Amino acid sequence: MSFTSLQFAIFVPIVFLAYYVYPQRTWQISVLVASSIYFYASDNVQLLPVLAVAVLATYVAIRLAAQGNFAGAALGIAVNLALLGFFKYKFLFVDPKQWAAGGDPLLSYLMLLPLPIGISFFVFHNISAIADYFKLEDRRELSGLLELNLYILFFPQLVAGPITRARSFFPQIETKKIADVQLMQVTKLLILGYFMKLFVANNLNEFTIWMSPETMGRLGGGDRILMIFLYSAQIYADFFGYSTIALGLALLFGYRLPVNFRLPYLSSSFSEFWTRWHISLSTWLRNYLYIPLGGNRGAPWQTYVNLLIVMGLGGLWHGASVNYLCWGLVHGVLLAIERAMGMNQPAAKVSFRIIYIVFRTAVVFVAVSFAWLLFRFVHFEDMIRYVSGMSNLSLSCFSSEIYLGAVLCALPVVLQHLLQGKFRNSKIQPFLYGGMLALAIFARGPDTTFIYFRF
Amino acid sequence: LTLRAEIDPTLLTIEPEPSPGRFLILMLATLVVLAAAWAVAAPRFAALHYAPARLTSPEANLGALVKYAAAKDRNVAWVGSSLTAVLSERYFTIPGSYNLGMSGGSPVTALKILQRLEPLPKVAIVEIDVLELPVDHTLADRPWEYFSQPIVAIFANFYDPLYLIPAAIYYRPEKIRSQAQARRKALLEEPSYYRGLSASERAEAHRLEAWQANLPLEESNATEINQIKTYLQARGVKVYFINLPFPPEIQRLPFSTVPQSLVSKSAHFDCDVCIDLTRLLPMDEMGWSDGRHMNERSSVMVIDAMEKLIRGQTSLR
Repeated sequence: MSFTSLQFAIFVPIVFLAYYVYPQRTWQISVLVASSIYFYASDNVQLLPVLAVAVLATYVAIRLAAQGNFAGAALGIAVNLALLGFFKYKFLFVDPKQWAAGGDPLLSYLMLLPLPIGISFFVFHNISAIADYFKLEDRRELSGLLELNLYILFFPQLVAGPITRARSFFPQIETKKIADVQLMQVTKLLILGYFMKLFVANNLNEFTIWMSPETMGRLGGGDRILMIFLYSAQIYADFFGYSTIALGLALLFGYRLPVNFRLPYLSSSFSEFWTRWHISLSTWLRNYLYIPLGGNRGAPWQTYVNLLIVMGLGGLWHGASVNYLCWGLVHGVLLAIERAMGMNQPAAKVSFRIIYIVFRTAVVFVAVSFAWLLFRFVHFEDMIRYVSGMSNLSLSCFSSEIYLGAVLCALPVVLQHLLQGKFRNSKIQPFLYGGMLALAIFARGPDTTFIYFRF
Repeated sequence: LTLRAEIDPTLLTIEPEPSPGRFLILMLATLVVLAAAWAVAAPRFAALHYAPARLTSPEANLGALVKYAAAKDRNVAWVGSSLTAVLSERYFTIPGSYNLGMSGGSPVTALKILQRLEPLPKVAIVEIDVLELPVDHTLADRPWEYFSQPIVAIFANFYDPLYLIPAAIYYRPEKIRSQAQARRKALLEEPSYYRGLSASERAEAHRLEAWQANLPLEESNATEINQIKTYLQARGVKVYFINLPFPPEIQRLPFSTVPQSLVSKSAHFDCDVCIDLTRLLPMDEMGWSDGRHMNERSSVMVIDAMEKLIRGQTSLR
């Protein structure tokens, strides 16, 4: 069930009413868990057992972890990683046709099950729960199976995050009253999220869909460069839109989730970019991978290796494909070079500081945008074909009004970054949100799946 | 570490709510005012005939069909695949000309709709280069008849308000008509710049060498096209079949020759309706934006050739 479907528009009010009709902790958790299971099963009923295995393994592991049992915690993490590895990365090593042909029926069935939506996200949730409980000082805080289910399955964050740390989520599990609902903030978050997805991302997809092996032949060099920046805006609007809707939905039920984006294209360094883009993932990787690996506490070369490992694995987390690995490694290399040159710190003592920062911001934006090509094209030869066609700068593919349409679609992303929340407390806010709602309803682009759903 | 006292700075910050009621009322009022403004402005600026098409296939196809279904002045309907879709409507000079080229789709989809809608066009030009794609029933089975109702036509314009601003700038009917005709004239007078195959055309030709016909589907489509043609002719519609030109390397491939032979073998075939464009066009001046789709100048040349033919052979309403 997608956030943009009619089914979901009916589902949420029903859950909302059931949730607040009886303000009692266990009832409310049960309503959210049951509705989250329904939410997931509506598209993936055959994959519910996978989710059940993950939850149960995590539950057993956190009971053991909370007793300081390292082996139990490690086993729980291993089971979760095994699930992720089996479903996401098995076809890196085996041929699916071979399993479709015959062999053991159960194994064939398992091998041919589709990738569970959101597996990358809920596996990271589970690992966070186990790791945080392992460090727990007060054993009385240990939550029950129902609470753990809520943490893992909570439908606003189930399929594409934000990845919430257990230590940030569990303290919020308490009785919620309808009078405490932050109605205006929820409304704003939902409108902003749907606007970014339906108007910006879906309309931009109309243009960037031409960045495909079949259609790129029609694009001139200028078109190709323009498409890269449009894709940058699209992928941001798509994921920012999803994350903002998730924040609004969670707040509707009284939960605060982590903010996933803080105007990432304003970053003047690559390290800053990763504190502004997909913050919940980068925070997770930092806390549960980079720091345990040694972080930047060792020699410089060890830090660089750690960066490459973390970013490479972060890339692979997005998909079982070499292009994602390379995308992560490219960012790892950029981070390492930047650190080696001492440019990961803010520019403080430079003349013409503003010009210098603008220049650095532009460099980071262009590099990040071009790196998205590795995200867009699964095969290197397609990406090389795309880049090699940039030798001329002609805008030859479409008529001028189409380009104007493209700019109009991307404009909200540009304005959001440039204005930096200047209208946050302005009196024109109701009109802005009314306009965004109107555009989201009447000018929405053709329906497309959220890009991060496939991870 | 304690789970109870944890404060995470990355969590969403709760903002104070001064007056949610006033905010919501003003926001909804804005929504209503904008919706009403669109309802009034869209038919004026994004006038049906001149509204720019969307880029991707489903929306472009839907838009083209909405325009046609809402129109009253149907004189010429161009039906076909994406090869036809690139023939920009702004270069048509015969009033009431509509392009129903279905990008990524079968010409049968548009023909099925065309035969249901009254009044029928005076002339139907059917491009038969692409028969390998199935009918899109989600499009063909829509209740297109209702789009001729004024109230539905207004809401049909809501389909694409994103382009209201470009439309307001570029598509004032009186302005666009003169601009387009000037450009059309300039394009036709332009000297040929096509010099052999481009790299993209060669790549496309190479790719299409591996193309294999889906004969049952193509035969079925050819038969259906002929049946609809017979019906349209019986209702007084002048029907032309055309094969839009491909680059020489592609022209001789099965991708091009199979559909032609299928249509000519089908029942009810009438040689008179097939127009050999290669005899009407200076083939050595044709060009393509990729291996298959004609460039702007060639598109104008095809439109010009067909419109001359129609004007010579058909009296238009």
